[in-house]
Amino acid sequence: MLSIENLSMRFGGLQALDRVSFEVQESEIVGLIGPNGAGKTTVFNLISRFYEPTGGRISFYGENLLRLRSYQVVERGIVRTFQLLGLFPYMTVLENLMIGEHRDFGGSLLSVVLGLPRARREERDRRAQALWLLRFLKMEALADAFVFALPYGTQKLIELMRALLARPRLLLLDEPVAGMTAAEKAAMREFIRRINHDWGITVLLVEHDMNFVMGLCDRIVVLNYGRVIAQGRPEEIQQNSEVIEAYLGEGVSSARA
Amino acid sequence: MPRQIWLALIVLTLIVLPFGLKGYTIYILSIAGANILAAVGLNLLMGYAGQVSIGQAAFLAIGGYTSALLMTELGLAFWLAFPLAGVLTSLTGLILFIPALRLSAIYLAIATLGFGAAVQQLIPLPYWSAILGGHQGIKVPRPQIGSFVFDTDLELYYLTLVIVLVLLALSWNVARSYIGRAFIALRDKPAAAEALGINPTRYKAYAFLVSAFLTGIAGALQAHLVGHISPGEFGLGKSIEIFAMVILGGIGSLPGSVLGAVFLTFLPHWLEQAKLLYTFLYGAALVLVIIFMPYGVWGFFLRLYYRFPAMQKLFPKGA
Repeated sequence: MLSIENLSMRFGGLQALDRVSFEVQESEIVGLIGPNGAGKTTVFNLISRFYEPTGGRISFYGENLLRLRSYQVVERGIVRTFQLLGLFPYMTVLENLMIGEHRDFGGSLLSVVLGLPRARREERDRRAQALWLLRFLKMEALADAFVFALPYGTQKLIELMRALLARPRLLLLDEPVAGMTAAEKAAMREFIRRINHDWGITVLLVEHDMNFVMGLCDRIVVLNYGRVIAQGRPEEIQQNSEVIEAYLGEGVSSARA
Repeated sequence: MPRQIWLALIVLTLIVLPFGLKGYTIYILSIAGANILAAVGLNLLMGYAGQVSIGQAAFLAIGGYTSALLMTELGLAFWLAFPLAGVLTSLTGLILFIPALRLSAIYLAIATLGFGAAVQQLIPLPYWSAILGGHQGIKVPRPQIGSFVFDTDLELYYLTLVIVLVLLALSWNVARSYIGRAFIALRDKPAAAEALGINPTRYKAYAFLVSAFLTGIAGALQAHLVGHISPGEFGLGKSIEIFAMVILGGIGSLPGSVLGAVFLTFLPHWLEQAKLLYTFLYGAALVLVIIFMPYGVWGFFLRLYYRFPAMQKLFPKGA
């Protein structure tokens, strides 16, 4: 569904990505790993259209993504989360979730100003939908809580819920379990599995926690200094000598896990 | 008590409020009403959408002159000229929206400052003084609906009350809608907002449209209350006054803007005795509020609310 071909990105003198190519197939869970500065988040930011690549192509179901503006990417079914939380701190949990439903709102400015029935109904329906998801995850007590007051792991989960309300076909998760406790990580892994298996959502994720990645992903793409040095199933990656040398061999994974 | 009862109580209080007040105080209350609309207009733009403007007086002037001229020059009825003045002012808001697409907060503030100065300088130019009245300004007709002319302070007060309440309700509709949430999202985390499908161009345009509409209506209302309009009223001082109302009341809170506007409208009259010290006391009040109530008067109330359970019983959540 997602195809990245010879993608390059240069920031001044720094070649952040150098002819990166990989694909994500429908209903896969793919992990994008690599040491700090390898260019993982840059790949996400290019898919989100925050940057203009210096070379290469990104296509989604055959459509050239580089033609889109960043706010149009979600309309195609690509939704992301952020490494350092993309939640809006001064909104309640419910309001944050309803931003995830943004593209389902169609009431004109005038209908909103005048409080016309269409605008009211839309607001009510979207609110009900967001509350349904909260109840589904037994978190309805948090609906009116301000986001900044919640524990980090909970915030991460809420950001993921918000992404789900945007009805993704492809979900991009940037370090979904960074800073979480072991129990929270296990719960998150289960949740991502269910999203993928029960709801048929394809997942591309960046994560430093090797156990998490190896235990969850169908396939892994390894970046180092902006290049793809390996891709394959977790077992293959664990035995790939170049990967071990570039990444695992430095003890990075044990230090960070 | 549920929210509806509180609202009904407040409206009832506002209806009986003028009885026993001097005509002049009633008049100042009406002026406060116009200022409320200007403050709410700026708060939606600045507090919600994060677009700083210190040129709002220009929209007041455009709204005031437009409503007056539509009546005197084109012979439109008040009930038509007045809202139309808001709509036309709203379109001039798009003039500021264009630099807002490119400029970040502080640079946009300078651009709006320039806009405010330009409009104030353009009005008294001789080319159109036959219509705009130059520095002297023009007389503004009294509001009239059918054959009923709103002439006394009391009649104007009730007209103002209705206008302000209706527009506050409409502003509240915007603030509590997906559009209001999109404003806040773009203000706090533009990248995350865009990644969820919020088009920054569209919502900045909405913010300027809504803000200029409210401010235009505020200007028209003030012009009809005063009965006269001249360019001298719309200097940088006026823009900063509106700015101060928003900051004082609490940025990003509509009830705060109402309080801030009423307070700053009456403050000069309370301080009248201390003529020479007026500017000093005015400045000191602002500094004190910013130091001790960083989230404005309304934010201060909210904090009290969360600190004292008794208040939470009296005003249940969401009220």
